[in-house]
Amino acid sequence: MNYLKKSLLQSSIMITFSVILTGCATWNTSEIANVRPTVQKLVVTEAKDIMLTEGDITDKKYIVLGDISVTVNKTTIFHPDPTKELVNVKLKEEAAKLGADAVTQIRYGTVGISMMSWGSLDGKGRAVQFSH
Amino acid sequence: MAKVVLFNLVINALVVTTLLTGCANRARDLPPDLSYLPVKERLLASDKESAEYCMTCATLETQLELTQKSILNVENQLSNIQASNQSKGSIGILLLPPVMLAMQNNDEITTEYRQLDEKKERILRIKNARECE
Repeated sequence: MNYLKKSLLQSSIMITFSVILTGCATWNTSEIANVRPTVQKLVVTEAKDIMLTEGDITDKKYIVLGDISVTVNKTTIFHPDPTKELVNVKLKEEAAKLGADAVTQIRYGTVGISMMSWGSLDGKGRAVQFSH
Repeated sequence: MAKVVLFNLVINALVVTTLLTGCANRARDLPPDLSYLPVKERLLASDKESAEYCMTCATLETQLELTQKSILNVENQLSNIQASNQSKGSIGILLLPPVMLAMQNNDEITTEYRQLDEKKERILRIKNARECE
């Protein structure tokens, strides 16, 4: 009986800790695929200046720099769920690293529990640079 | 000893069950890059076979608004499920593990979200190709 109690306590502690540890800090992951070499000089862009659109850009010519994929995970079970705005911020940051002027074709996943966090939301977009 | 093993198995099963319900769903893959084509030709083969392809600009605009409203509605439902699952998850972990079994699956609503999102994207592509507005 004592052994059962001890085991119960150990299991509870392990589960509690693993749950807490899966969301100890704010963290994001990102990935860039299909990166295309650009003939244009890499111009450093600021994340805040990058335009985001869920559709295509038709009034300007552009070249595609790469496809960005980001995931925002909530910190602990007690933190608010990640939002599309947080995904947008991360997309802009990644696009800025590529020297992009805009991110097109943005799409989002749905918030839910993942293996690594109690709340994850991912987003994808295509980083583009306007032809100068 | 056998009871302990059984107990641990039950706990593990509950944790796995919890992790498999109400899962986050990844964003759809990006469409092929059609930027090398003239704007009017930036359509997928499936767009030309869709009901939206025959619609006028005004109808497309109305459809887009309706789809966006439906998406918002579905997102609210998903966030309610997520909140409810998290409450059950915390109660299950801290107090009563079987509560985790009551966590809701969001597969159906997620499928609906994907379909609506695809529709919105299709409308946007057709609107662009038609140069509406």
